[in-house]
Formats: sequence, C-alpha cells, structure tokens
Amino acid sequence: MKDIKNGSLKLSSKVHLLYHLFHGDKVSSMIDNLETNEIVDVQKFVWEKTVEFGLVSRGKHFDRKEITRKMTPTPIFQKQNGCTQPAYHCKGTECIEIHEECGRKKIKEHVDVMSESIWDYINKYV
Amino acid sequence: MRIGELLVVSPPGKLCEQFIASVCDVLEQKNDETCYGRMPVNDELAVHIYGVQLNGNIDAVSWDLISPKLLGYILLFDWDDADSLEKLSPTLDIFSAQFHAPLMIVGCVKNTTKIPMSPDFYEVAGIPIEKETRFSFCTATDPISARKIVATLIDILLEKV
Repeated sequence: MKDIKNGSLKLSSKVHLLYHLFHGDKVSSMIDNLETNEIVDVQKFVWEKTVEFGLVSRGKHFDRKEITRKMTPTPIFQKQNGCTQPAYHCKGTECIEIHEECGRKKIKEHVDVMSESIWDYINKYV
Repeated sequence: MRIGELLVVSPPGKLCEQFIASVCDVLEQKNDETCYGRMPVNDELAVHIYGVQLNGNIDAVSWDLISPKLLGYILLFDWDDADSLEKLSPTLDIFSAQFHAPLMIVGCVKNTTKIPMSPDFYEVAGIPIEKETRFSFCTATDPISARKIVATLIDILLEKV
C-alpha cells in the first residue's frame, strides 16, 4: 500500500475550504479535483475546524459524537457498497488507496457532515 | 529606535491602501502598486508597513529580495468577491512554500455586519490554518478592526520567542 503523506494540501486550497465552509457550502465537490493524499488532508483539516468551532460554540458540552452520529455507520456503509472487508478496514484514510472510489465516497460524506456541523455552530451560536 | 517591518499584499483594488492607512493613520507614500506607512508603537519601537498590490504577474515582484527582513505578512482579499481570492491564491502558495514568517490571511468586509460569524470564533487569535498561519476577518477602513489583525500577527511572533 502506498504511504499517504499528510501536509500535501496547498495553503490556497485550505483558504478556499474555509471560504466555502463559512459560506455554508458543501465542500465535497472540491474533492473531485484533488489527488488522493490531498483528500486525506481535506478530511483532517475540516475535522480540525469542526472540532475547534464545536468547542467555541458548545464549550464543555461539546461531544465529537454529535458530529459522528450524523455519518453513515460503518456496517451500513459497507453493506451499501458491497464491501465484505472487516469493519475496522473501513477507514477513508486507508481504503482510499485500494478502493479509491469507495474511499472518496466515504470521505465526501464525512466532510459534508462536518461542513453542516460548522455551519450549525456558526449560526446557532449565541 | 528599533524598527519592525511587515508586508501587506492584496489583489488589485483599494484594500491594501485602506488597510495600511487605517493601521498607520497616515500613508507616507503611495503609487499605483505599492504604499508605505509607519505605525509608532512606543518611543523605542515602530512598525513600518509596506503594501504591494498584485497587478497581474506575481513573478514581477522579487519576493526573495523583499522577504528576508520582514517579520510577517498580511494577505488581504475581498470576502464578498470569490475572484479576489482566486487572484490571491498563487501568492498564498508561494508564501507558504518559500517564506517562514507568521502569515495572516484576511477576508475583508465592508462592515462588520458582513462577517458571517461571531467574533468569538476568530478575533482572539485568528482561525489556525497552518503553523504560524491564521485566518481572520476585518474591515480595512476601520482602524480598530485593522489594528486587531496586526496585533494578532504580533502575538504569533511573540509566541515564537
């Protein structure tokens, strides 16, 4: 398996991500034009921003499960995609090298859930 | 007197000039592509702020000659104009790859009501993007707003010490 290196996402791509996140856009469409290692970075970057905004918005009540529970559970995702691998193999960051289309699909769903969460944190913050 | 130097870069338009005029009270010098202002901090320290407006070819600017003495960079774009960010993008990648000084990337709005979120999310320390690189919002024509960006950049510098 090819090593997926972090840190390959350009600064301009990160700023574009913020631009779309803060305009309430879903950012999964940006993923179609990116290389595999960049997609993994997108997921990491958007996750970090989601947690940061969640912490500011929800303070000590923040729980990462309020984000992850909106994502399709792994066994259901695998069934939907005809995957017979063990559940612990189903990580976008790992599968994307051997089942690229499936890995991209999973990461795209996750970043859209995270985008919506950030938009909620921004708009429901008082 | 000790002097610190900062560089402000923006796509074509008035942003660069407005920002430096807000921070420095007075623009000491300006022409079509560059401007310059001084911000006295106290009797012993002043910050000199240079502005470069990107008019087309970014390779026309000798960044490698400009950069070694600079303490940090502020890159401005118009938050309400996606094209403004597009024009700044190549410069973002050049700065990120070549320069190792704190960088503030700022979405400029016409007034604070246009900022899409509470200041609690961005005002204290900016939104982290990379090590020593933060994102924030400001109104370039508002001295308080513009000076907060310079203050955040100086905070990043102080964190290094």
